[in-house]
Amino acid sequence: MKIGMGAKVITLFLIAGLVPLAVIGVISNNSSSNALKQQAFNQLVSVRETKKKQIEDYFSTIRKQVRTFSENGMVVDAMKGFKTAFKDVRKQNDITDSKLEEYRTALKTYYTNDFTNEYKQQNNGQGPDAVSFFSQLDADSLALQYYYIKANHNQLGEKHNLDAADEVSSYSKLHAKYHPAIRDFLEQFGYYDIFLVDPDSGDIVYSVFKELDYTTSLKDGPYASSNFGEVFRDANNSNDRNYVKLVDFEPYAPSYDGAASFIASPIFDGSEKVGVLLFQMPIDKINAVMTSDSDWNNVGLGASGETYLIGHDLAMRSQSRFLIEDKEGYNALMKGLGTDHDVLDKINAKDSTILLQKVETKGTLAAVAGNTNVEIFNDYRDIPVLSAYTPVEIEDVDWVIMSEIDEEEALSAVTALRANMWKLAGGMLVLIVGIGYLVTRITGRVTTVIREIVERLTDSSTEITAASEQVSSSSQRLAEGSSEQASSLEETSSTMEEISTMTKQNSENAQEAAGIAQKCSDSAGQGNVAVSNMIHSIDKMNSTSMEIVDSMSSSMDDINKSSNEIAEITKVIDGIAFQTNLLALNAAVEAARAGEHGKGFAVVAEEVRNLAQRSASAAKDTAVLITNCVDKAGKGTELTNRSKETLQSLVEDVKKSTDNTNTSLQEIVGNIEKVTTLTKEISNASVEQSEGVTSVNDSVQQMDQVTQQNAATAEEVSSSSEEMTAQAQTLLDLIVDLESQIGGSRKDKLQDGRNNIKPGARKTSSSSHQFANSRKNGGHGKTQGIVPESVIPMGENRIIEHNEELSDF
Amino acid sequence: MEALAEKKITEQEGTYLAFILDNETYGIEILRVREIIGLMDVTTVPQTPEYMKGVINLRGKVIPVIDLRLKFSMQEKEHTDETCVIVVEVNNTSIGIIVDSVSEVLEITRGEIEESPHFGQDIDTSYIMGLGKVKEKIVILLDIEEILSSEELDMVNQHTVK
Repeated sequence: MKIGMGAKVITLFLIAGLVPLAVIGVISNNSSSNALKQQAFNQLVSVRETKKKQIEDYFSTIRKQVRTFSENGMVVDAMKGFKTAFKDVRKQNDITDSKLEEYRTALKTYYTNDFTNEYKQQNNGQGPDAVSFFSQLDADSLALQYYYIKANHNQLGEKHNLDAADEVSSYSKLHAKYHPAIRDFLEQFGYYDIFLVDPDSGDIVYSVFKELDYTTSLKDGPYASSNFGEVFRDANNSNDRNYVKLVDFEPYAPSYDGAASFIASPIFDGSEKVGVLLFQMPIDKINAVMTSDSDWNNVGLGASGETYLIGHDLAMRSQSRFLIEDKEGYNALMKGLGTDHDVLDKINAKDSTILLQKVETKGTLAAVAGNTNVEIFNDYRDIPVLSAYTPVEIEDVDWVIMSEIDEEEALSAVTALRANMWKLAGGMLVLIVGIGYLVTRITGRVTTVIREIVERLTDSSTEITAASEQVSSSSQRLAEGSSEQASSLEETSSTMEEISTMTKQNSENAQEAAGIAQKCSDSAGQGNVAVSNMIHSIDKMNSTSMEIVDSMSSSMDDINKSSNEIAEITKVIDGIAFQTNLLALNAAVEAARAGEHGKGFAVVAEEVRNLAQRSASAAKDTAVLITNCVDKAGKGTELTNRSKETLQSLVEDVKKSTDNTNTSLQEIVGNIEKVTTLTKEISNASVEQSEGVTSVNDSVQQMDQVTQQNAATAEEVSSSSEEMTAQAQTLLDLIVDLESQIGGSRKDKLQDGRNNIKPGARKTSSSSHQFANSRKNGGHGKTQGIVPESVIPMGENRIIEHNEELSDF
Repeated sequence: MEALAEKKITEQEGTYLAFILDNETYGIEILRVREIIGLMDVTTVPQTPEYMKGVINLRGKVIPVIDLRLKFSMQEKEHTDETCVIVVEVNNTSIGIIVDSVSEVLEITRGEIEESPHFGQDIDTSYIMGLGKVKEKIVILLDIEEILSSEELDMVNQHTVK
C-alpha cells in the first residue's frame, strides 16, 4: 500500500510537531504549573505567615497595651476614683426614688426603642431581650445609665462623645477628667470599648462607649455570664499585675449580639489590686489587619484570596472578604450551599461573618488540629481553594489562620499557562497541520516536481545514454576520421611528392616548350621565306596559265568558226538532200500514178531517194560530227575558261593562303612570344608552387599534429564516454532508487534506459588505439620528408634564360 | 461485213506514202498523192477552223493547207526543216496536209495489213483503213477521204474559189 507522501508528511509533521509539543507542553506545563503552584503556595504561605505574624503581633501589642495601660498611673487613678465615685453618684445627685423612677422610665424607653431598634436592625428584625436586661439593672446602673446614656444628647453609637454629663457628682468630674484621655486612647488604638471594672463588685464603673453593659456588674449583672464576665473573673482572680487574659469572641448582647472579644488585665496600685482593665477587642482593627484594609489584591491575595481567623469552633473570627466585597453574591452562594437562613440573615444584618460563618473544611479541621500545611480543598463556599493554614499563636485563644485563594485564581497562572499551552498546542496543531498541509502541498509539488525532475532525469539520462552512445560512436568516427585523416595526410604527402615531381616536370616541360618555341620561331622564319617563294612561283604560274588559256581560247574560236562554216555547208547539203528526197518522192508518186509504166521510173526515183538519203545522212553525220566538234570545242573553251577561273581562284586562294600563312606566321611569332612569357610565368609559378608545396607541407605537418591531437582527443572522448555511460548507468540506478522511494511506475522505462547503455561504447577506444598505432607506423614520417628545394631546381634558371632568347623574336 | 472488210483490204493493198506525224507513221495511198513539197509560206485565211492553216501558192495554184496534227487534235508542233506538205487530191480538190516529215513509199501487201481494231462504240475509226506492218513498225493507213469530209471540202472549195 502506497501511503501518499502527503499523508506521511502530515502525519510525521503532526507527530514531529505534536509529540515534542505535547511532551514539552506536558512537562513544562507540569513543571511550570508545579512551580506556579509552588509559587502560589509559597505566596500564600508568605501571606499567611505575614498575616499570622501581623495578627499575632497585633494581639501581642494589644496584650502589651492592656498590660501597660493597666499600669498607667492615669488609669490607676481613674480606676480608683471611678470606683469610689461610682457609689456616691446617687447620693451626690440627690436621686430620690421618684427621680429614680423617672430615670427608670426614661431609660426604659432607651432600651425598648433605641437599643431595640438598633438591635433589630443588626439582627434581622429580631428583637433583643431588652426588658430582661433592663430589669436586671440596679439603682446605680439606672442612675448612671440615665445620665450617661439616656440623657446623653449624643446619638446611639456616639454616646462616648459626652465628656461631662448633666450631673453633679464627683463621678462627673472624674469622668470629665479622665474620659477624654481614655476616649482618645480608644480612638487611637481603635478599641471597641475600654472598661474599668470594680474588682469587688464587678461593676463596670467606667466605659468609653456607654453601652448597655455600662455600670452593670460583671459578677451578677445581666452580662456576667458572657465571655466578658468570664474574662473579668479570670483577670480579677489573678494577682499578677502582668496578667492578661483574652477571651474568644462570643455574641455580646450590649453589642447587639455582635461578636465581641475582650481582653483584661488587673490594675494594681502598688500591690493592691484596684480594678480590672478591659478592652473590647477592636473588631475593625482585627479585620483591617486580616483583610489588609480590604486591600487583598495588593498583598498577594488577588481577587479571590483572603486570610481569616478560625476559632476552635470552626467559626470565623475575622471578616470574610466575599461578604465585604460582594454581599449579594455571597448570599446567593451561601444560600446555594444550603447555609442556614437564620445564620445568613444574621450575617447580613451584622454585616459580619464573625462567629457566624462556619468554616468546616479540610483545612480548618487540620489547622484546628494543630497542623500547618498548604493544600487544595473546597472552602466554605465550596469552591476549590489553595489554602495555607496554620494555628496562630495568640495567647488565650485557640485560633487558626487560613490564607486562601481560589485555586482557580491561585493557579490562574497555571490555568492560564495550561490554557496558553493548550492554545499554543491548538495553534501549533493548526500551524503544524497547516505547515504539514503546506509541506504536503509543497512536497506534493516537490514530489511532482521531483517526479517531473525524475522523469526529466530519466529522459535526460536516457538521452545521456543515447548521447553517450552518440559520443562514443562520434568518437569512434572521430578516431576513424582521424585515422582516415592520417591516411589522407599520407596521401596528401605522397600527392605532395607527386606535385613536386610534377612541378619539376613542369619546369622541364617549360624548358622544352621554350626550346620548341625557339624552333617554332625558326620554322616560322623559314616558313615566311618559303611563302614568299611560293608566291613568286604562283604568280609565274598564273601568268603562264593565263597565256595558255588565252591561246587556247583563240584556237577554240577558230575551231568554232570553221565548224560553223562546215555546219553551214552541211546544212546546204542537207537541204539539197531533202529537196532531192522530195523530188524522189514526187517522182515515186508520179510513177505510181503512171502505174505500170512508171515502175522503172519508180525504181529510178527510189534510187534517187536513196542517194538523197545517203547524202542527207552523210550531211547529218557531218553535221553531227561538226556539232560534236563544236561541242567539244565549246567544252574545250569552257574547260579552259573554267581552268582559267579555277586557276585564278586558285591563285587568289593561294594568295589568300599566303596571306593567311603570313598572318599565321605572324601569329606564330606572336604566340611564340606569348609562349615565352608563359614559360616564364610557368617557371615563376613553379617557384610559387614549390613555396606552396612547402606551406602545404607545413599545413600537412600541422594537420598531422592536429590529427594526433584528434586521435588523442578521440581516445579521451571515448574513455570519457565510457565514464559517461557508466555515470549514466549509475544515474539511472539512482533514479530507479529515487523513483522507488517516491513511488513510481517508471521502473520499466528506467530499465530500458539502463539496458540501452550497451558496451558499444568500448569500441571507440580500440579503434583509437588502432589509429594511434597506424599513426606511429605510417604517414607521420613521410610528411616530413618533402623539402621544397628538391622539387624545383631553382638553382638552374634555364627558363629565364630561354625567355631572354625568345624576346628577340 | 466481211465483204466490206475484204474490199477494204484489197483496196488497201498497194503503195502508200509514209509520213510521220507525231512520231507515228501514217500512210496515204500514193495515188491520192499529187505532190510533196517542202513547207513554204502559208497565207492565213481568217474565219477558218484551226486546222485550216491557210493557203499556199503552188506554181500559180492556190491550195488550202490543213494541219493534220490539229485535225487529229494533236498538239501543234513547230515546223521543222523536215516539215512537208503533202498535196492530196480528194474529189478533184487539192488539199495540202502539213506533216512532220515524209519518210518513203511503201509497198504494202495484203498480208501486212491488219484490220483497224475497234476501240469501242464512241470512237470513230472510219478514217483508218487499216494498220500496216512494215519492217517491224506499224503504219496507220489513213483514208484520206474520210478524213476530209465533204463539208470541209465544201468549205475548202468556197475558200479556194473565192
